[in-house]
Amino acid sequence: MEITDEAFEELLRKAVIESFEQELAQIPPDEELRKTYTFSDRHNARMERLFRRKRMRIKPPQVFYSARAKTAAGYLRAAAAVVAVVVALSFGLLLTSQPVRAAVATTIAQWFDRFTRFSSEDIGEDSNENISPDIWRPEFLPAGFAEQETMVVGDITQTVYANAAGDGFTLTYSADSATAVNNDDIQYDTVTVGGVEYHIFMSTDELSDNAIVWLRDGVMFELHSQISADTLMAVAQSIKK
Amino acid sequence: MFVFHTLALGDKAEDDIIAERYEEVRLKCLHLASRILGDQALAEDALHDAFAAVIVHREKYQSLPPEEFFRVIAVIVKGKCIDILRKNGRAELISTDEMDELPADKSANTEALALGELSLGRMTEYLEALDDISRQILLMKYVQKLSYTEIAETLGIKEKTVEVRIARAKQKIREQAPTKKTPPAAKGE
Repeated sequence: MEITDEAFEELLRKAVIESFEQELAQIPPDEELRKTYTFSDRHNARMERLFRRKRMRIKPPQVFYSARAKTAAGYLRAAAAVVAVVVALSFGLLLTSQPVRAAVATTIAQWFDRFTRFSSEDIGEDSNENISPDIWRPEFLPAGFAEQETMVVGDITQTVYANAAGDGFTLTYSADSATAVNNDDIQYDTVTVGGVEYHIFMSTDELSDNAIVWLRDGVMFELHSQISADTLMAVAQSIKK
Repeated sequence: MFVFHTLALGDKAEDDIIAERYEEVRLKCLHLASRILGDQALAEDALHDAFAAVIVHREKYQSLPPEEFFRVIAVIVKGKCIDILRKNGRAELISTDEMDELPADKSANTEALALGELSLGRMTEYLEALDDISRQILLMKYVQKLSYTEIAETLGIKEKTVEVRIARAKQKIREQAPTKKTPPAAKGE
């Protein structure tokens, strides 16, 4: 009796699975493998970074909305704005050097002004509905990178770009927002191109991202990534509406 | 309007599942990769790259039961090992002859396989004789259940090359298997 193509295909499928199961069954138990293998610090740091990076999400501003829902008075909204800046500072800014402190203080001061102005407006709880923020995208992407996912919360847009190896960067932008850049173990610099001042935070350790923050056309942009600051800068300059 | 935003630890649940799975399988996967690559540093690279790929498409993987996840991640790790071998010039995915057409007619063998001669055990033995890349493509097809298109995208090759690899793998197995001669067609038939 000759074997049909269908029977051959089914036999092959079973054989591939059987062979693979046998291969997996030959792997010693973890107790034994622990005696043989110790993961390198480099690997552990990379994996930690990989999982940590993917946990980074925009957190919807529920706290502020709920707080504002309880108060109609303008002065309280203004106070909330101040709190926002303070939270921004306490969240990420551990200012370790005078130049960084000064530069970030300038930027924060600008944001503070913006917050004050925004907080004086009479805005309802549902004011973030029906917002169609402009879409900004980089015209330059490092080789192999592509847009992966975009999340929009109110007028804040965050897009993740990544390559097949899992390296990635995150672009966040909003007209009305503040941000915090972790200043642990960073070198700070500014570059002005085309009248736009880019605040560059270069990480000096393996676990932290590089970041670039800039204000342009009334929109605050922020790029975060493990990729080099030079590459991030090229991406930043290529962003168009 | 007033909005405060910050990058914060947000909804961690779905990525924590992948992180938990990593903890469960990392030693076994490292062992698997080390056996293929013969170098722990490279094996760690393969493990990292595999989980990076899983995280990008986590919606496909996070709901898999642990045992199924292990099978799938093991296939992905092996694929990343082959990627590393290719980058280091130790494996070639597309040989020049495979850039050509499929074997002229896959069903044109004049020797037909006898069902009784081709047992599961023998087929498993024949698989061992295939090259690593062909076996990997078969794993992706039958264990990971990927389509030709998905295999091609994952390996960064043309879909046709995947098809050719699978066809050639089958042909090699057929060639190894005991056969019975099919009498040539009589003239005038």
